[in-house]
Amino acid sequence: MVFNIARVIKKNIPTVFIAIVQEDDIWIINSKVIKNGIVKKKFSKSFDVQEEDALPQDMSEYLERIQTDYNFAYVSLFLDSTGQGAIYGNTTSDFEKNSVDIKNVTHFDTDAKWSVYASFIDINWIKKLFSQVGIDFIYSPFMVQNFLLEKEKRKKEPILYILNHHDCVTISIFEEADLVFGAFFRTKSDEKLVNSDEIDYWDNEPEAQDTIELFGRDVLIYKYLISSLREYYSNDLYRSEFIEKIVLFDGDEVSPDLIKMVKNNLFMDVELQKVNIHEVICEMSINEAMQ
Amino acid sequence: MDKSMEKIDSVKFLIYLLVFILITLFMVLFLIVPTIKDYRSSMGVYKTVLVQKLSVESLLKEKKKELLDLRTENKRVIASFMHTFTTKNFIAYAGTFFNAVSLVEVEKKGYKDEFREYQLRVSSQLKSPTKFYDFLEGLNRYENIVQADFPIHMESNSSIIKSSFTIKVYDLNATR
Amino acid sequence: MKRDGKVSMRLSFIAPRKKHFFSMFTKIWLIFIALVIVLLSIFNVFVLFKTLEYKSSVVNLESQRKSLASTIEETDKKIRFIVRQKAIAEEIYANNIILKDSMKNLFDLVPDQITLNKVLMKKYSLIIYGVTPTKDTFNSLLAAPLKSIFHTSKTVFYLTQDGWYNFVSTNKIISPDKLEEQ
Repeated sequence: MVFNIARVIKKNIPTVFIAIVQEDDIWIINSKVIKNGIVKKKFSKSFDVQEEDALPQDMSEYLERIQTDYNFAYVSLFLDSTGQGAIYGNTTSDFEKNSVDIKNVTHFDTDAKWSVYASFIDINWIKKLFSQVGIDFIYSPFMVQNFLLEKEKRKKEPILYILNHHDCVTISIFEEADLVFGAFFRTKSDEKLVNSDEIDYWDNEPEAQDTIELFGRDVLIYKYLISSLREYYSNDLYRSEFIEKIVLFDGDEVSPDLIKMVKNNLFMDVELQKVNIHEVICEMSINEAMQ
Repeated sequence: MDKSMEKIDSVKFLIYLLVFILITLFMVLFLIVPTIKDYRSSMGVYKTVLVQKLSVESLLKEKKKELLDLRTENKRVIASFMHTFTTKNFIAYAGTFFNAVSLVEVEKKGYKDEFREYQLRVSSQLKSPTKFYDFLEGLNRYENIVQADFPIHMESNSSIIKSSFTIKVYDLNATR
Repeated sequence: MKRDGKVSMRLSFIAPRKKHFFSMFTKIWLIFIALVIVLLSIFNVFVLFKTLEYKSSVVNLESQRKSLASTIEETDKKIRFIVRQKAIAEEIYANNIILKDSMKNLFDLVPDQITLNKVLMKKYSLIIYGVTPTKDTFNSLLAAPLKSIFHTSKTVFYLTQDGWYNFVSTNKIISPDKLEEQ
C-alpha cells in the first residue's frame, strides 16, 4: 500500500535519467527529464577522458549540478570493459563449463535460464570512479541486446544477434527466449585486435568468391563473427543447430559490404536495425527505475 | 549521494531561512502572544480576587474575635438571658430576703415588651427596708434578667412589712 | 525477483542508490521547523494550563469570598444581638438600682418621728400613708424634701385619738409625655 503511494508520487516528480556511454576517449552523456511519463527536457554533453582513474573534473561538476537541480536522478553506465560475457545456466558448474571463475565475477540471471557476468574488479573500479558523483545502473551490453530483442518475435530456430558499439561488439545466440552463447569483443585501437592463432586458422578458409573488401572495424566485426560461429559449432557445450538469421543492432556505422559478405560467404540472412545505444540505455534505466 | 549539505546555494538558504522565520513569527504572533495575554489578564484577575478574599478573610477574623470577646465579657449576662425562669427559683431567691413569698404571673399590660410580668408579694419581719435594698441589688446578680418595677405597695402591720411589686422577667419568647 | 505479485526486472549489475524525497538540507530544515512548532506548542500548552489554573482559582476564591461574606453577616448579627442584650441588661440593672436608690432616698427622708404605714409607689406618683406627731414635724421634715422632688405634693392630715396626725401625702411628677404636650 505504502509502496503504491510512493510509486505514484515518484511518477509525478520530475526525474532525470542520465545515460553515460564512452566512445573512443570521450564520455558522452545524454539526459532526459521525465515527469508523469512525459519527456520534459533533453540535453547532452560530452567530455574528453583525461585520466585513467578519475572522471574529468568538469564532467563531475556537470553531473553533480544536474543532480542538485533534480531531487530524483538515475545515473546509468554502459559497461564496455573486457572480461564480461553471458552464458547459458546459472550455477557454479555452468560457469565452470564456460571457463569462468564465478568468484571473480559479478553476475545475475535474468529470471530466465541464462546469466550475465562481468569482472568483479571492473565493477568495483567503476563504482570507485563514480563514488563522488554517484551511479545507479551499470548495464551489460548483453542486457542492452536482450532489451532490444525482446521486441522481436521469437522463433524456434536460433538467431544470432550482434550489438555493434563504437568500441565493442557483442554477439549472442538465442534459442527462443534463452541465450545459449555469448561473446564480447573490444574493438578499440589500442588493444589487441585478434588472437594470433585464429589468424592462421582463417587462412585455411576457402577464398571469398566476391571481391568485396572490408575496411577498418568491419574487418574486426567479420572476424569476431566467424570466430564466434566457429566456437559455437565446434564446442560440444552448445547444441549447434544451424543458424540462418542474424539480427544486427547497429549503434555505429556498418557498411553494406559487410552485410553482403556475411550473406554471400556465411549464407546467413542479415537484418539490420539502426539503434541509438544512448537512447536504449536511457530507456532501460527508465524501465528499471519506475517499476 | 546527498550533497545538499556541502554546497548550499545562498538564495535557497535565504529562502529556507525566511520561511522558517515566517513560520516562527506566525506561531508566536497568533499562538503565543494571545495565550500570554490571556495568562496575564487571568493572573491579574486572580491577584485582585485574592486580595479581596484575603481582606474579607481578615475582616471575618476580626469580627470573630470581636464576637468571642463579647461572649467572654458578657458571659454572665448571656447566660442569664438564656436561663429559663422558674418561679420556684425566684421564690427561693426572694425567700432569702423575705418571708411568705408568693409570685403570681400577671397579664402583660398593653405595651409591647419582651417581658413576662409577675406580681411578687412578700412580707418581711424587719422594720427597716434594708432587705429591700439588698433584694433589689441582688436582682442584678440573679440567674435571670429581672427588673423590678412600679407599682410598688408597701404596708406595715405590727412588725411585718408586706409589700408587693412588679417583677418583669426578660423572656426571649415573649414577643411571639 | 517478484514483488506484489508483479515480476520486476533486473537489468543492471548494481542496485540503484536510495532516492529521498527530501534532501538532507531540507530534512534538517523541516526538523528545525518541527522542533520550533513542538517547543512553542508545549510552551503554549503550559501557559494555557497555568491560565486555566488561575481561572479555576478565581472561581474558587470568589465562592470562598462569598461564603466568608455571608459568615461575616451572620457574625455581625450575632454581635448586634449580644450588644443589644448587653444594653437591655444594663438598662434593667440600672433601673433596678435607680429603683433601689429612689426607695432608699425616700426612706432616708423619713425622720424617726414619722412612721409610715403604707407606701404606694408608682411610676409617676408616690402616695404615703403615715403617722406624724405634729403637722409641723411633717411639713418641716418631710414635706419640703418631697416638694423638691415632686412636681405636686398634697398632704391631708387626720387627727387621731392620741393627738397624732395620720397623713396622706400625694406626690406626683408630671410624666415626660405630658411635658411634651405642654
